[in-house]
Amino acid sequence: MRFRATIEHVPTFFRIVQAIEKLQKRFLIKFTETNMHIICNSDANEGGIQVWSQIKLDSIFTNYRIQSNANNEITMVLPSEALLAALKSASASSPTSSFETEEVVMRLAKKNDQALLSFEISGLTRVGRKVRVAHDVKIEVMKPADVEKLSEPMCPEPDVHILLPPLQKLRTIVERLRPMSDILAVRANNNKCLQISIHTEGVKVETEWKDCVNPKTQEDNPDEPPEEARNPEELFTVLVSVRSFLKFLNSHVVSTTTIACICQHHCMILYVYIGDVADAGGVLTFYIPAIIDDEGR
Amino acid sequence: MQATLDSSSLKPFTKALICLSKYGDELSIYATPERLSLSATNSSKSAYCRIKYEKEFFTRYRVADHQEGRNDQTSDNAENFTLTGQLLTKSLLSILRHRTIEKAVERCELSIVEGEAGNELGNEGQDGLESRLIVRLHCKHGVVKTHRLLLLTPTSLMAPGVPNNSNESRLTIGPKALKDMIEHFPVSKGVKADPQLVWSFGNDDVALKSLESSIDSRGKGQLSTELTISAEEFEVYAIDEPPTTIAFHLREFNATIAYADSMSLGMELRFTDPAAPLFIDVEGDCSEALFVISTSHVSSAGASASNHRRNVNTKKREREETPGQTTKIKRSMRVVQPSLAMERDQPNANPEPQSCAPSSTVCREFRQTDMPPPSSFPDDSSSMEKVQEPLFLPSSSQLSAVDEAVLRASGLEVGTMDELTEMLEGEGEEVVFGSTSQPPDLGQRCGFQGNGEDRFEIIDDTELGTTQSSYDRSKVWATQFPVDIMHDKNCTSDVPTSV
Repeated sequence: MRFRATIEHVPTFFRIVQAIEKLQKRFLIKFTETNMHIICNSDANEGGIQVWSQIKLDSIFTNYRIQSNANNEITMVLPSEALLAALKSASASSPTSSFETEEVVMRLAKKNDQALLSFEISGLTRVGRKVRVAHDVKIEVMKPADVEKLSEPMCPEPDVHILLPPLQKLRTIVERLRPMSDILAVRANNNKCLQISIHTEGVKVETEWKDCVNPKTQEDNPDEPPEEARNPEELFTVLVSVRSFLKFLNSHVVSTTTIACICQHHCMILYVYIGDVADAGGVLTFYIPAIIDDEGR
Repeated sequence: MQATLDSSSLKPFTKALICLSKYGDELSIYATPERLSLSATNSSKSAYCRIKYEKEFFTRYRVADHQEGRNDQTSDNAENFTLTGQLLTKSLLSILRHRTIEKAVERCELSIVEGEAGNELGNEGQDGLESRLIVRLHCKHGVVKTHRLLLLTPTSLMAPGVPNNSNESRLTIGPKALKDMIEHFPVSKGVKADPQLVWSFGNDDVALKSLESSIDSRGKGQLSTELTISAEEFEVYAIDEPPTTIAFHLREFNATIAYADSMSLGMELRFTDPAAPLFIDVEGDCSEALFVISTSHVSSAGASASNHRRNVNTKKREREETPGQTTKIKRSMRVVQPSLAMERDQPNANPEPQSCAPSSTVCREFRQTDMPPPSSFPDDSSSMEKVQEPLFLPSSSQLSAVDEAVLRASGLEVGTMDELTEMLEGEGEEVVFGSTSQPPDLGQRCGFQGNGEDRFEIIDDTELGTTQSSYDRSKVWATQFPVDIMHDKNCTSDVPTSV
């Protein structure tokens, strides 16, 4: 089992982990020959939120070498906070420090039978002298048999795709709603309309965006008549936990474009694109299961 | 003591207090006619911080002027006159750190009123010494804020041990460079976390290693970090016997860096062998700061992996401090001892110890030099109001007006002059009733009532008689002396004379 890569875009990696860190103390990364998959699938997560992501190696790494008996794939369990700290130290100058990173090499290593993901950072101090920093993050390499058991959640064909407004803006609103309700209703139609609302005994708050884009999905174009047959004004609703929606919104640090899909009364899927959609370096896919309530508000 | 800070020197003073507060809760004040020294020691006595200010740092600085007259009689006392006190750093800091301070304050006066000098509350214990630190902030628009803080008698003034100069290693480095290095070592968010770093000083480079990186909240180190930097990063790099390895905790060290950084001053690090404490000097124009941090001994240089396992309980520092511990990492001895143990004539660059005898001694000296005792005392520890008026005034017409005044001022529950005299004689010491005493409470009242100047005086007692709980009447009676109070004088002296 060999694994070594130079982290070319430390800030990108850092921000991805930053978004993940809020979600789970320990998470999985599956490195393959072409992609890095970040997986959060713990059952204990707030509202059952999961992340299944796929990030192109080129968007973060160079000099990538991987070798293993399991189809040249390595899956590891990492402590998110420790990984974040290592990447933070590797990020070039924070506002307070003027440390300059020259190269960051990530390696799979073993010390005293403990598997490590080791980060070797070489940089320059503010006066231009060389500094070497090494971080060893304790990890756990998963057995191929266990990796095979990992499975993405199943969901039907989404009823609606819609582009979300900038997550930062969405976040300010949802944060206001959070003290008032535990359940958030997200509604969207195929005619550029998105609504988020809460409805409790005491209060009803609704926010509506009128000008969201409904992206064309691949299936749209060829021969899917049902889309046309449906009334574009029809709103599809899903109820989700406010807290898990806020967890997803933490990814605003990394997002450029976010597409939300609603499978009515089933789940909500959010594709957070890293980099431009056209040339996306990767996508973090958040899966938030719906809260089923009798009225189906 | 009286010391005045202008707005420009107030900020460094506050920064120093912030640093001191990171070292320990209790702030020891030690004032001589030449300098004011503030020090703090942490609870496990493994770190010590002392910041000294030359009198030039203050726009005005005087110690014990009103004692001078009396000190003429014992002239050697005049020069060695010192003043000590102790208070919670937080209580002083909370005044000076207030958000409006920086903008509004034009001048800050610190004055210490000693218990013997007529403090009405000075009745604790046998010595009757209870001083107060008065912080008076002169703000814009003529607003004057006065805070009175109770000064305790330091139980023992701490002083660091002396470094052995023969095999001393010396390093000089700017705080920013040091900060850049330490930033790579993540600190977990918990307040209790206090990671230790192992520093290996080689011939050409310096290696830092995290000894405990409990970045995991459960105390398990998930991350270990090592940093290597060229020795050139240090302006002075004189290691006695490279390679040398020392280890110490970061909490106090970081506070030191923050202080040096805020003052834009370089840091000089000195240490001898791995078991001896680390000394850090930060010297400014009128200030001189000394920091002493105990180190732990790391026996094998390459034992980083085993160190990790060993450091499960590093959160509990006290326990680690036990000198009897026989693990690989030995905590060094305490960096400070009560200064009484120090030799008087130690050739150390540490002037405090010889003169910082506990104040009980100081107090005795005062009595011999006719120091006026406190004029009155509170009748009840819980009620401050009662302090201001004697509870019982004699109706007997036999008393002369002067006697009456003395009685009233004494605040004692005595009916006649005879009783009072008896009490006094029982003490068996000769007392001259000085006229310079300043009972602050009376003065404060006058400041409100009789003062015609158009100014506000905001009195903010942040510490109210906390030590009075151990009030013992019999003891108090033995040590209290009535004093002739001159009301007018008190009024004028307690109220600031200029805006």
